[in-house]
Amino acid sequence: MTKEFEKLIREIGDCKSKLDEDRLIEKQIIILKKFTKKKKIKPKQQSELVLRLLFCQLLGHDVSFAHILAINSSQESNLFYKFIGYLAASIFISTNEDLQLLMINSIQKDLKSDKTLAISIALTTITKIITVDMIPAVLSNVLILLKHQEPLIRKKALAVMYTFLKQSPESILKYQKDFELMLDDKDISVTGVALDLFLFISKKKPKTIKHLVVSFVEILNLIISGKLPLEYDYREIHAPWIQIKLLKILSYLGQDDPNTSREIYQVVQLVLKQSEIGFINGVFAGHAIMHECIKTITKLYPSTKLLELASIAAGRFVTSYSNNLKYLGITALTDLVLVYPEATNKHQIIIVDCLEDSDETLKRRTIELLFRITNKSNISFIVEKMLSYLKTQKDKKYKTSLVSRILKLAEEHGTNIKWYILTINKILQIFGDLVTHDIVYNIMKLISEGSLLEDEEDEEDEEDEEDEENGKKGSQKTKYGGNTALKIFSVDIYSEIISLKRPYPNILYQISLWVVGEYSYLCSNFTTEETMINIVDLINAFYISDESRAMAITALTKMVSHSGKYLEQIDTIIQKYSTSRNTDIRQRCFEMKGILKLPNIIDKILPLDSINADIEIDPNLGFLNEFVENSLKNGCKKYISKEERIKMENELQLGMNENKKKSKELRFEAYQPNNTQQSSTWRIPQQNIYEQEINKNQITNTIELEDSISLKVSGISQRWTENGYSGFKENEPKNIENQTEKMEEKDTSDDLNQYNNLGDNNNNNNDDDDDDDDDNNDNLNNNNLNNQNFNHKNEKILEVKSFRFNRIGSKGPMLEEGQKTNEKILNNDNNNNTTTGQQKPPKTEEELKREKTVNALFNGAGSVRTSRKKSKSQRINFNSKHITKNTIEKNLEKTENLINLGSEKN
Amino acid sequence: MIFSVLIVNNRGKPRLVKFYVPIDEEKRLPLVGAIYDVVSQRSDKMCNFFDGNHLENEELKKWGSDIKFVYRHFATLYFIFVVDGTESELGMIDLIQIFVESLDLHFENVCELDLIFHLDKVHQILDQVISGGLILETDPQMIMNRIKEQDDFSKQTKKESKKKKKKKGRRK
Repeated sequence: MTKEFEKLIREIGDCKSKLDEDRLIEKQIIILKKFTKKKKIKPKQQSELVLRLLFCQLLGHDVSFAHILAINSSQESNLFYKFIGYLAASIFISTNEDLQLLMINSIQKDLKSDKTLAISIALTTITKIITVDMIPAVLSNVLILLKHQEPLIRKKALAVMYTFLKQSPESILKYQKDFELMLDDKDISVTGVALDLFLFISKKKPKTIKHLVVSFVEILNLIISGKLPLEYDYREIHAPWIQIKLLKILSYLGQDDPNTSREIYQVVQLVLKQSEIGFINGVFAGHAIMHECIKTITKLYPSTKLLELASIAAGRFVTSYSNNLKYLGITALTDLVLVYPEATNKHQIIIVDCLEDSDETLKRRTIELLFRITNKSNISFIVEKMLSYLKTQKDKKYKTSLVSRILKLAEEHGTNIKWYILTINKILQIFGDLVTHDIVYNIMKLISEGSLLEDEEDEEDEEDEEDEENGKKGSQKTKYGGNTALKIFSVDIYSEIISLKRPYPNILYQISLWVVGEYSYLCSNFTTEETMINIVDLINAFYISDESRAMAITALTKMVSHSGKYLEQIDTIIQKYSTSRNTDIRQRCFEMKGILKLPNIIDKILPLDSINADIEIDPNLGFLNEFVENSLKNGCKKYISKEERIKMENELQLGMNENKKKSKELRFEAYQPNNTQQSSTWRIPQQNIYEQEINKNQITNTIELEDSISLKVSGISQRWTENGYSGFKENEPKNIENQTEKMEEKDTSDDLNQYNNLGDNNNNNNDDDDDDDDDNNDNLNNNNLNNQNFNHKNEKILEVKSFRFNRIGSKGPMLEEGQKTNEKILNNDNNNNTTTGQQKPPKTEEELKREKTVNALFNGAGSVRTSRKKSKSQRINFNSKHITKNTIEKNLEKTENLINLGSEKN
Repeated sequence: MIFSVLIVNNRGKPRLVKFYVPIDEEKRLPLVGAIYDVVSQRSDKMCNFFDGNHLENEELKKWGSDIKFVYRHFATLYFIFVVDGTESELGMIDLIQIFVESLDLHFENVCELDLIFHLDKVHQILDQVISGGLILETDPQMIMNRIKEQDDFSKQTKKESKKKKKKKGRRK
C-alpha cells in the first residue's frame, strides 16, 4: 500500500461530515481518471489503483469508468495482482454483460492453469459473475475440475456447479451422477459442499434422489460416530454444518413419505440425543442441530415417539434464558403444533409470557404461535393478552392485519355470543379506525338474526342471569328470526356506550346507533326518552363524523316511530341540520320531517324489527307505467337509456380525440372542457362569462370538426374537379340535399335537447337567441343548417354565435387573423397565387358573418378557428382530407407552387 | 444459501459488502442502509436474527420469500449475513464467529482499521469461508494455512519475476 492511499484513508477517517468525504472521494476519482488514460501502468501500481477504486466504490461512488483496470489486472501473471483484479471485477461487474464477456476469456485461461491457486481464484470469480449464457463456455472445464486432486479445487468447482444449478437447473441436472460420486469423497468438507447441491435438488425434485437416502443416513452416522479428523469439529461438535444440511435434505425426502421416513427415524433420534451433549455456553452449534432435528421431525411422516421427543426438546428452547433460543423454540413450536397439537400444553404460560419480552421479533413470533394454539378453552385469555400486546404496537400496517386476524379468531373460536359482542366492542373502542366495515355488517347481522348454535347456550345463561320474563322472551323466536335476549343484551350495552359520550371511534357509534335505533323498545337500562336525549347530545358532539351524525338522525326517526314519543330537542336538531353542508344529513333531516308528518302510516314505513323481512322489489317499476304513458300522450319525449346516451357521448369524444391528435403544435386556445361538462348545460352558469364563451367556442369547433370528419366527402368532393375549384353555386343544392338527410337524424337529437332542457331554466333565453339569430342571418341558413346536424348541442352553438357576435369587439382581431389566413388559402386555391402581407381594414360584423359563411361553405370542414393555428401545409392537408385523389394531387401541386413562391420571395 | 455478507460499523458505514447473487450496483448501498437501519435499532438483548418481514425492499423480494438476517455485534462492527431458509440461524451465528476468529488470527486482535486498510485480505479470507453462497471451510486454522499458502506463492512469483528480469538485464 502506498503512502498516498494510506493518507486518503486516514483523511476520510477524519472527515466529520458526508460532504467532506464526498469532496475527498471526488478529488480521488479525478486522479484515478487520469491514470486510466495512461497506456502503460506497472502491474503493482495498477493493482494499487484497483484497490483505491474498490475503496471508493465501497463508499458508494460510481467508478464504472475504471472497470477496465480491474480486468487488466486480472490478466496479470502475478497471483496477488490477479487476485485483486478478479476480486474487483467480481464486485464491480456483477450485472454488466459486456464486461462479463471480457472476463470470460481470462477465466477460461486460468481454469486450465497448472497453478492450484490461479484455478481457485478463477472459480471463485465464476460464482460471482456467471450468467446463464456464459455457462456453456466454462462448463466443460469445471466438470474436469470436479476430479482435481486438491480438495479445495473440488469444493470450489462444486460451488460453481451450484450456481449453475440455481441459474439453469435443467441443463445441470444431467450431471447428477457426477455429484453422487462426490458424496463418497475422501474429504468430508467436499461432501459437505456436494450436499448443498442435493439440498437444492431435494427441495425441487425430491423423487429423483430417493435412492440416495441410504447414503445420506450413512454419512450422518459417520459424522456422529466421531470418526472424522479433528479439524472438522467445532467446539467438540462434529461438523455441525454438514449435520444440519443432511437433516434438511432428509426432511425434504421424508416429507409425506412413510417408507422413507421410517428409514430416517432412527438416525434423527441419535442425532437429537447427541446434540444435547454439545450444549456449551456461548456456542450455538449444539442447539442448532437440535433445532434442526425438531424441524425435521415436524416434516417427516408423524411418529408419536419422535414428536414427543421433539416437543421436549422445543421445551428446552422455550424455557431458555437466551432470546435466540426462545425465538427458535417458538418458531419450532409454531410448526410442531400443526402435526402434534399437544406439544404446547406444558409451555402455554411460558409462551404467553414471551409477549411481555422487550424483543419485538420474539413477540411477533409468539403471536403467530398463539394464533395456532387458540381453542375454545383458552380463547378469552389469549385474545385478552393479544389486545394488551396490540396497544403497545406502533406499526399501523401490522396492527391492522393483527386486528382483523384477532376478529377472525374470535369469530372462529368464540363460544359465547355475548363474549363475542363484548370483545368486538372492546376492539372497536381502541382500534376502531383499523377495522373494516364488513365486521360492522357481521355484527348487525349477528344481532338481528342470532345464530342457532348460540341460542341454546344463551337460554341457559339467561335463566341464571336475567329474570324470568326475559328468559321467556329469549326462548321465543321473533317473527323474522333472531334472539330477543341477545337483542336486549346488545341494546343495553350499546345504549350505555352512547350514554358515556366519549370520543370513541365512529365505527363503534355507528353500530350502537343502528342497534339502538332498531331495538330501543327492548332496552332495559334506559328509557327511550333518556336514550333519545343521549342521541341528541351525540349529534351535537364534535367528535363524531357526518356519517355517524346522519345515522344518528335516522336512529332518532326510528325511535320516534317505534315509541310514538317525541321530544322538543328533535325539532331543534331538524332545524339545525336541515341546512347542514352534508347532503346526506340534510336528506335524512328532511326525510325525518316528512315521516313525522304522517303519523298514520309511520309504522308501515318503519315497522318494528324488520331488518330481516323480505321486501318485494319490482325492478321494472311497473306501477309507474301508467304515469309514463300519460306523459307520453301529453307530448313528452321518450326516455333514452343511459347506454345510448353514453354511446352518443363517446362518439362526441372520439371526435375530440381525433382533433387532439391532429394539433401537434402548441395550442393557444383554452383547453376543451371535459366531456361531462359539455353534456350538461346546467353547469355552465357557474363559470364566468368569458370562460363560457371560450368553452362554447370550443364546443362548436369540435362539433364542426367532428361533423367534417363524419360528414365526409359527398358534398365537397364535387366542388373539386380535375380543372380545379368549380365554384359555390353548383354546390349549394347538393349541400341542401345533404342536410335534408340529416334532418331525419335530428329527431333523436331533439330528444336529447329535451333531456337537457329539463335541468336548464335558462334555456328559454337560449331559444330566444336562437330565433333572433335565425332572423338576422337568413343568408347564413346553410351554416345554421349545418350546425343542426349535431344539434344535441344546437342551442349552445347558437348561443355561442350570439356571444361571438356580441363580444366581437374583444374577439375581433383574433377572428380577423383567422379569416385572413383562411382567405389566403382561398386565394391560393383559386388562383395559384399568394397574397401574403396584404393588410385588410378591420371588418364590420356583417362582413365577418358573410365571410364566415363563405368559409364554411368552401371548406365544408374545419372551421375557421380550428385551422387558424395550423401551418399552411397542414391546413391544406386538412382540407384535402375530404377531397378525392385527383384533387389531392392537384392540391399537392398547389402547395409546391406555394412553397416555391414563398422561397422566391425570400 | 448465503446471499450476502455485510460488515457495517456502528455509524452505518459499510466496511465490507459482498453479494453472492447478482444485484445492480446502484441498489447495493440502499439495501445495506435499509438492513443497517433495522439492525442498529435492535438492542443487544434482542435475538440475533429477524426475518424479511422487517424491511421492505424490492431487491430482497427477488431473492425469495424466506429471507433471514443473522447478525452479530462486535465492538464497533456489525457482521450481517443474509441467508435463506436452508441455513440454520444458529449455525450462521457460529459461522460469523468462525469468520471473526479467522480475521483475528490473521490481524492479531482485529479492529475496524484493519478492515479498512486491508480490504483485499478480508475479501481473501471471506472467500475461503464462503464461495458462491456455500460454506467451504469452517476451521480458522485451515483458513489461515490457505491464506499463507497464497501469500507465499505470490511472493515466490514476485521473486521469480525479479530473477527473470535480472537475467534479462544481464543478457542485455
